[in-house]
Amino acid sequence: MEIVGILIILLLMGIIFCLLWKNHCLKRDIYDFTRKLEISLKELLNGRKLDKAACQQDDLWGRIYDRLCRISDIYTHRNQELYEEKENLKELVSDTSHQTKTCLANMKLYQELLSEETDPSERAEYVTRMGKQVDKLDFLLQSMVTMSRLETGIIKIKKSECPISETLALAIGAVVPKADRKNIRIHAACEETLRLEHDEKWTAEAIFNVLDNAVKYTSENGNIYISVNQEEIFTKISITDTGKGIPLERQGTIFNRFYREPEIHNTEGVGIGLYLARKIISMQNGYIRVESETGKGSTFHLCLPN
Amino acid sequence: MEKTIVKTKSLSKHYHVHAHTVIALDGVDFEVKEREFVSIIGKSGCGKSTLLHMIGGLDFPTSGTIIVDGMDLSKMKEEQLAIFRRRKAGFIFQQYNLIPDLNIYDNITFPLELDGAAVDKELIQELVKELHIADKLEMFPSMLSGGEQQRAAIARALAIKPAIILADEPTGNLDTSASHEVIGLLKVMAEKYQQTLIVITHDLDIAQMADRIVRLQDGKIEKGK
Repeated sequence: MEIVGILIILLLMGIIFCLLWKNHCLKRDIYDFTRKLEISLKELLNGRKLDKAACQQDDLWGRIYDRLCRISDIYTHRNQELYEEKENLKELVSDTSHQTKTCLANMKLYQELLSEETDPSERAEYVTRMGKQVDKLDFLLQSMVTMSRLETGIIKIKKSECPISETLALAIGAVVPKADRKNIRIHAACEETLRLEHDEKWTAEAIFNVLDNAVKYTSENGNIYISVNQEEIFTKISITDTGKGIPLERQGTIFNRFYREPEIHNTEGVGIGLYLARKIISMQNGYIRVESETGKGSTFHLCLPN
Repeated sequence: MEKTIVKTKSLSKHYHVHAHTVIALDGVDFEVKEREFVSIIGKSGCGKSTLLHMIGGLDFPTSGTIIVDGMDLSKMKEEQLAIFRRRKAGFIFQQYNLIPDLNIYDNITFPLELDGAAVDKELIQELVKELHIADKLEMFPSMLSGGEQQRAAIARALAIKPAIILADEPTGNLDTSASHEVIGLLKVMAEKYQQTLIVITHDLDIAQMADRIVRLQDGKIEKGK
């Protein structure tokens, strides 16, 4: 009997010991976890980056640490982005102000010449030249306005279902005067009944920017073709020009902000047209694709989700 | 400037087949910036897939180093690589590799279940809506078209919120218009979720949609193109 009693007592003691040990382990793990969490959070608060390679375990802490690393990544990324935006803006301001200055200096010169000149034909010539400078100034200021809107996040997409042909007409109407000057014909094929959920105003702006670009690079008496096709997921607005085309290695960079073709660096423009177009399209969950070969013209596909 | 997410240094891979040595990669120095969309083109057998598999931690290099998102994959053990693949990389293959006995929803959430992570239902709903397969969740892979299956595979790759998406000939089995749509969607999604995208293709039209094109030939990166 006594032996059985002792055995039971021993067993009970064993169980109690086991439980205590488990309790101790649990406590230790929890302390350990909170300590690690505290250290990592401190690192984050001090603005330091967490070492990603430090922890690759497949447990709860491993997963939490992974998330913390992601948060730290997002932080640094945002800071970097803000810094770059600022640098870009600086560059834009100096670029535009320089161009504005040249415009004003030219206008001042013509105005002085005009006040001294008596020959009517010479005077007319100066007036036309002044007019050109005014146009350039106007263009520059408009770019500035669009750009600042973009930077301050004023572009708000308001989607509504409306016929895509109307949006297209809006864009074409804006580019026709410029195309006429170069005697470029614009051919558009679009079903009038085709409706699409999109922001009319901004999408027209995007299409206009691509068209404006097409006119810029198409030589006189050329043609621009526009077609609209509805596919399974996207509706594709294709704009084909007969311009000089874009070499393969440049096709990815033409959408960058402040990108200008190396050959035309001195003419008007600040290189935001295509950037803006892409931004507007991607804000509506769409994308732009370009197909081009040097010397054979280019096709820009603006794809918007149905 | 922007951070580098993938960096390989003199990366080489040799395979031994019946006493022959096949050189798949021969000293590749390759870099990808964060949130960049890079397409890799080249003839079949040029080492494209091998390179992609290395970046995704599916294979070990013979020599050289490969650093992805701050981690040196060449020094990792198989177990650590598995964790890396589950959390950091989203794979998309030519064969959609959907599990035929699971419906689309279960297929998409499968990698999450593997990692023991909670399923973010809102994210999944958003993904399938954007990929236009929201009405297909209850169906089985065999009931879907190729393009739809590939979109489901994309949703599966994106569900783990990977830092980097690796696609190996994702449109190899699709017709031209479906191909463009799939790559277009992939591009839109990668931009939205700020992910890096590397796509292998032999189709120039598709390669042109990337920010940068890299040509591989005989296990080396072609320069000056």
